[in-house]
Amino acid sequence: MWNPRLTTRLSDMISVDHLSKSFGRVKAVDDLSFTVRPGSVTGFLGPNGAGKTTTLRMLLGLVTPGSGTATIGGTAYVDLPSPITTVGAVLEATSFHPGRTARVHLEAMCLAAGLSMDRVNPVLAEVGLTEAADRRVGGFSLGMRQRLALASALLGDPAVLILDEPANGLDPQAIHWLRGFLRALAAGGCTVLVSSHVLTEMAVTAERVLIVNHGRLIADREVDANLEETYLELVR
Amino acid sequence: MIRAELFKARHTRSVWGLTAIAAAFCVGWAALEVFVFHQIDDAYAMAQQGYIFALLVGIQLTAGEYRHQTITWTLLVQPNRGRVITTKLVACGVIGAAMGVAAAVVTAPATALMLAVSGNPVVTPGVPAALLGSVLSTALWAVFGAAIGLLVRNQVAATIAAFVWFFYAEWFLVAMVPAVGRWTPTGVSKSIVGWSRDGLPVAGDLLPLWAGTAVFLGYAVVAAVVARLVSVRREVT
Repeated sequence: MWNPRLTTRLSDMISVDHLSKSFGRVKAVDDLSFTVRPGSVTGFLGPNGAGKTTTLRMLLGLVTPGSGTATIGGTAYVDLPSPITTVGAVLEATSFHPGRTARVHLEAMCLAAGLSMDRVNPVLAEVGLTEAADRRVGGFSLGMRQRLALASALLGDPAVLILDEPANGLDPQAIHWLRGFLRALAAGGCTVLVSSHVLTEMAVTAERVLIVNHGRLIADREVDANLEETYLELVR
Repeated sequence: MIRAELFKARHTRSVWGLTAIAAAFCVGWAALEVFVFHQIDDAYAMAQQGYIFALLVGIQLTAGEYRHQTITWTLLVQPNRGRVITTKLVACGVIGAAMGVAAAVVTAPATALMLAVSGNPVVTPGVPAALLGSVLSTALWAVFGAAIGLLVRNQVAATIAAFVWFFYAEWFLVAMVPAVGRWTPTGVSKSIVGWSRDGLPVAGDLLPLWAGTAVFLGYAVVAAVVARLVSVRREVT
């Protein structure tokens, strides 16, 4: 029987299939395959240089795959008809024009994506930047930049979130808030993929983890009490 | 997309700063033409002399995206890189035209005043053509700058390259081979304004207006196409 809910959910699935990418002689990503389903937070773990960022950037059309595919609901990011209302992404925290305010950054994105400017105030409030909205980003702390990046990702109210080290630079309170926030989004049916190298944080945020090392997938499992032991065992 | 680019430019202080400097620069050139060189017929055409600043704005609005890594956001919103380039070029055309209008609005009355003070006729031949040509020329310089910025991607390198070319290389080239003088970017932009006297030793006449416009636009398009094929397709990491 046709189930509209299931159809929506499949359209929000992240799928990486035999994905490879080399930079010169270095194989950054090596025949990597996995899927990320809606409804839970999936952690993307691995040591520095394991290929996490490269994989996420291939998913977002910023890096061209050497071979294989990286798709969202079966479609490559570059072919999505309305990318930022489908996928929200947080990449480096520093990528803002220092002379523009948080509000101007978000308004420019709305204009470029054809979204209503009415989205700006709610996302600023959601990430706790209402007070700082009209200050120049040049004076922002790393944590505030992370919040602005998250606000940018939420602008299009997407059902899929791809976050690269979003907890970087956040203070303990903000990390606590981010954890609750991501879990609530996932509980609401969003697909959430979060990369991190902080195991303890992932152990309490994610329900499932993908562990990569040297560009290869070495584990795809539910999070349990032994995450750290398992990780250390696998990544040796 | 174009509205977003114009919005970003409006909220970039250096765009306003460079526009103001450009207008002041034009007035300064007009003063030189009137009081020092006594080239009365060319005085109004000095409204195009802020072109180098339009070029810099074009470079900033494109190479600056790489400098501040805002290109990531731009590409997340619009993953089609060809469309990003087209949008940038068109937006810079609009911004350059606005800079040209600002320069003309300031330069025209200042020039009229200076001509009156120096006892010359206030209306010289071809004033509307010179002012409209200045706006067109300034717009094309900004488009050209945008294309250069996309091609080079490094804002400092693009700026230095532009300065070396326009203050040294182009002069040297034209001095050696005067026949190319009317084909260089500076040469074609002068043909758009109808600037009769020339600092550069151009051999023969400048190109007609339409040809100058076409050639200049052609330079920008070629640079943009090369940028699409070489620089912009590069991976954003």
